[in-house]
Amino acid sequence: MSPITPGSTGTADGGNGPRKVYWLAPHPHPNVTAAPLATDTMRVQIAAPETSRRDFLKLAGFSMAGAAAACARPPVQDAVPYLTQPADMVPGRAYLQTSTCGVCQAGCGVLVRTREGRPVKLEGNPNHPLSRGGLCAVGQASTLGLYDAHRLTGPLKAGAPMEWAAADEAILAGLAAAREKGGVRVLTGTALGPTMQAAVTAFVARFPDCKHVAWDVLHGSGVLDAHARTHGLRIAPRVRLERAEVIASFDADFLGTWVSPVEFAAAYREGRSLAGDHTRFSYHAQVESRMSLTGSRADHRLRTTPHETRALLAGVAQRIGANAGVAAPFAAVTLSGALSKAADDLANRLWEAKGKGVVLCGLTDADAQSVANFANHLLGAYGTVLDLATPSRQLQGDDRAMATLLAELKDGKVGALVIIGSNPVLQHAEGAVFGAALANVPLVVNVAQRLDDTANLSQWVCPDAHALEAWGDMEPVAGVLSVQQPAIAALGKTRPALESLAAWSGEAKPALDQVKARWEAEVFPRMESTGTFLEFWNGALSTGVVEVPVDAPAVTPFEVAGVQFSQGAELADGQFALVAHPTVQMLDGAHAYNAWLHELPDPISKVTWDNVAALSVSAAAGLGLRSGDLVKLDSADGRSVTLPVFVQPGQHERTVAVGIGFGSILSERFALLGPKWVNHQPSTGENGRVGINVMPLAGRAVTITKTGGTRPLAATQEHFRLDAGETLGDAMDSLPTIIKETTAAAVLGGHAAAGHEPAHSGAHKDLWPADHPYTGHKWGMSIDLASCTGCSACVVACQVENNIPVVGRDEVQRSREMHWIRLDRYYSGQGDDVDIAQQPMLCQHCEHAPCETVCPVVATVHNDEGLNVQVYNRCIGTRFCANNCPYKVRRFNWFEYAHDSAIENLALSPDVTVRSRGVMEKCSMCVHRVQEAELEAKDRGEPIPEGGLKTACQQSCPSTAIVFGDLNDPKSAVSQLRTDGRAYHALGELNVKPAVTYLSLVRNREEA
Amino acid sequence: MGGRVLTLLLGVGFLASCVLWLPKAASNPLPGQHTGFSPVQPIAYSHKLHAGELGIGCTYCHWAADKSRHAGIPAASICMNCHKSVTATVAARKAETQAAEREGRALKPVASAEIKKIYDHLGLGSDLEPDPAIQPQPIRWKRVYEVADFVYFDHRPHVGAGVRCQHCHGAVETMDRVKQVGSLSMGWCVSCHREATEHGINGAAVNARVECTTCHR
Repeated sequence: MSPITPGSTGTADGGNGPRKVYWLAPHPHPNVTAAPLATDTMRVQIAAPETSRRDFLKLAGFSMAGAAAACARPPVQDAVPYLTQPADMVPGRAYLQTSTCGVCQAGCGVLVRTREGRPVKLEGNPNHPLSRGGLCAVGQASTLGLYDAHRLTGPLKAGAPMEWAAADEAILAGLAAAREKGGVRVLTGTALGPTMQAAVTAFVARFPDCKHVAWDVLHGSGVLDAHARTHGLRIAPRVRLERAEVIASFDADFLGTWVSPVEFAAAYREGRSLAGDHTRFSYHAQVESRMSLTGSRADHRLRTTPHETRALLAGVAQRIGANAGVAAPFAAVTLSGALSKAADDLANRLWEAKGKGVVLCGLTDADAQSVANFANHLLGAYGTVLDLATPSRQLQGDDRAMATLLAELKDGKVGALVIIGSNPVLQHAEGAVFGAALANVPLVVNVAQRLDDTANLSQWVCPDAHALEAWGDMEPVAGVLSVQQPAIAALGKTRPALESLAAWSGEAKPALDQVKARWEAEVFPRMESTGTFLEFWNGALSTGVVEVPVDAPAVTPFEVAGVQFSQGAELADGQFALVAHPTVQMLDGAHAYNAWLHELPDPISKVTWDNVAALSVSAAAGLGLRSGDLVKLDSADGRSVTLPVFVQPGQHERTVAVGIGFGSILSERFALLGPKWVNHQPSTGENGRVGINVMPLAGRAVTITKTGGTRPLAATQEHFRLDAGETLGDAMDSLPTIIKETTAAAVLGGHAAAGHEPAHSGAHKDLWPADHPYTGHKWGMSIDLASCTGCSACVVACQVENNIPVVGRDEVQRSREMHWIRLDRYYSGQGDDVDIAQQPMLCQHCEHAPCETVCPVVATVHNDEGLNVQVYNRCIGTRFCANNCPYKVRRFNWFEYAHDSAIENLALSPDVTVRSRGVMEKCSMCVHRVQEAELEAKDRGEPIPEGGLKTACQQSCPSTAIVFGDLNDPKSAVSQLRTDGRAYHALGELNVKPAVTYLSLVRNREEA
Repeated sequence: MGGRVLTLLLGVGFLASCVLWLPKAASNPLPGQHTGFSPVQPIAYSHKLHAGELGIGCTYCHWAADKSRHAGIPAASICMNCHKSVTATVAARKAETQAAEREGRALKPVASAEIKKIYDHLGLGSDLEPDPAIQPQPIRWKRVYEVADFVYFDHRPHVGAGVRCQHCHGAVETMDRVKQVGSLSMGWCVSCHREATEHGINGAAVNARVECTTCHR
């Protein structure tokens, strides 16, 4: 392993231990941003005179004619009021209505913000007991799906548009034929609400030997199968992380992608509460083979191969068994020295926290899960951290049923296949086989929103409605029910899956009637309410969620015989374990149509618009690879993919980690995304898609061969850096303060302030007099690095809220991404033995803002409430401000990032200016929300209530790391946090007096 | 060589645009200012009649002025509050009554040409009941007052502070067809804000802010 030269970047003054050095990327400098940029290619383009000069003259002529015409007469716009005024609707005001997020099985509660009947933003519903007001990046981005111009607008037969009546007739005829022959199958994803479950069950009951197959690519069926073995019921416990004191996670990325990340992030934070009356801080150990978001938060992290992860899990279970005096019902595993010691330590910690310790297992095989159940049973986690009385309904998948279905498809035994919300052609390891076998089925009906990889091969496609267009419901945890309430009439001739199923069951019924009927029959009676059903229903719509008592499932006493385990084969020499994992932005690939998500940098690698083969620093060095080099991954059974390498510190050296969900046909649309200019490059790869589908090789051992080619990655990790860079950094006397870390013991013991005096306070003289009194409000923000998980929900929330454009892969490579808030990810440590610190970085609204003094046209100024404001109509685009900003948070509109599609423009918020080419922009601290709240308060004659004003990033944050408020109010949460012992300013030595305060990162370990 | 042609063409283009623009410049002091703009509306609605002679308050129709950013152009359903019964001028209705009496027949519905347009838009027949043969069509009014896209004007605080509608919109109650009165330039807004903060509105002190973010965001 080559030694790593840290590239400057900042220190931690934990108060104890040596100063910590942070760095952004392994050295030598990876090929990430050193892409052949600008100059050479640009010169070539300009030297090709014929087309470019003609184009220029044409444009020059047109623009002058346009300028002349623009002054000729006022632009006459139509103003079109309603014919009949809807009751309780004031034009120009936003309305929030409750609904349920439709993107995954987690079923988070949302509030849909609508303007003139048009949903523009999703917010988390604070009433929801699981998501508690948070919403993940994918949920935030789902409004773009509503206004997706490529969404299907009506049924298709073999690609040709059909009418619903004709489609239904033909499908019913096909189903009738299949009834005779048998073999009707329904394949669904696992985001099924109770009404949808009932509709599927009703459909299945109409056919002899009809089967429902629920398939979950992300979680498999290990948890359910293992509980069937050990607890006698195919159920999954609800994980209550807030009750855990010791969390041992084996490859479960519970803060990123596992089961219910928003719920877990909120609960995890509650278990690590450093303020208020109930201070405590859980201990979190993560055993994993790649660097996951959850792993980056862990107090202790172990790098293992997948094989070792299983072995370590078994080893820990055996040691717990030894402590409890129960022999584990499987052969003793042998662990190497370091792993054995780690297993001892982990088992001891868990055992000491008996009743409050939990083992989480993200492995999809039932054997590993049964071992985790065994450990949890002995630890007394069932009944405390793991709740079987109100089990989770978020896991529904059945891998064996899927395997059977695939076999039946191959053998031609399926008479009719109805696919709802599942895309196995992309997501299944045998996707190609599945796709080819669809030709053997007489009737294939796909209820998809878009022509995804599977729908593209399906005979019939009957488009489902978007979650914001249709009625439905969700029950993510038994007894927690929320209504999915439409916020807009269907934009095309789509039909909710509920209605399609009802029509094909022969009992056409509107989705609303189905949901209401089910709630009246099943949910309302459980409430034991004295009111009427209508009152209950309206109340449920108003709060968005109801909690009803449920009977605890009748689990059997723990069945030790259900615990089975055998150690698999170890990796052969020269082989790498391919870890195919979901990513925060792409999940299972169902949202591969979404440009917001493709441009969202991966929270760890910071790569956009691609999936990569992540290799550890030492493995990459051993193979002579650098980030951006293309490698071919070959499995023993002859499958291969070619991917760009990404050097990922912290990964195990025998693994190669690749994100799944990429390479979908849905991403073919991005070939032309981005500004159209002479040097424009497509956002897609050589396959015409974004990224490569790696599912065919998932879980296999692969060999790695360098192809010799390169694909420069659009990674943002070294864009907009706060430090001085390698060259300057070495020459600097002291490293800048960016990240600060401390230990839980220090904070809980009251020593957090040690070494945390406000940096250089009073040491410097101010350049400017303190002549701004800020007599009214003075807005400020605090960001708790101990709470922040790096989930990136804030980034997308800000993008949706503030009409931030997508620029495309090519522009991201040129450091032209437009996000107003970004997550800076810093490494500390050496080589692969690293810690990660995440820092949300946004405009710090400095009181003495360096940007303001250099603007020649006063386009960026301070307002009387402490906000640094950017005035687009004054800005002439000198970019001096961006140059002078120490935090590098200003973004320039290099192009008119026009939206070509009228329907996609509906996603724009009417509360924020759409910026044009040549102006600077940056975080406004959601000044439009501030103004709305101020006007509202003025109208009522009352002050703005605490918590009544939240910025978009704050609202969506699942772990409430971001707090915004009035610094002039000493009682406000943000003022209180400013005086916290952990509070510091990033780059505090510059004395620019930021309005944003960070609270130092806290880890539960001996030394920070 | 190519450079010279380019410069020449650019120069010619620039001169041409100046020549084209100059005559307009006299009537329009600055590009984007449209004082006096008075487009022909799809229905010859008269503010002089409704607000002036009949004395209907502004916020009866523009009911959102104190509730929202937009004062709102009233929905056709609001017109129908009165025009359900007022279908034509008094004279026309009297003439029909007399004619019907004279000819000994039942009254025929009378609707004046402009009021009938509302009924047509709403898809109502001559009996003012929905007529399935007529497809309802929203009324496409021509917008008179418009601020630039980067300006966020909000009616609510202005109406709340007691600024009279006429202060910006002029004596609308004397206009048959509405004409833009205020220039809507930034100087026009800011000078009034400064004045209001200095002198108050109707004797009450106000804080009419002139921060950039007051209007731009």
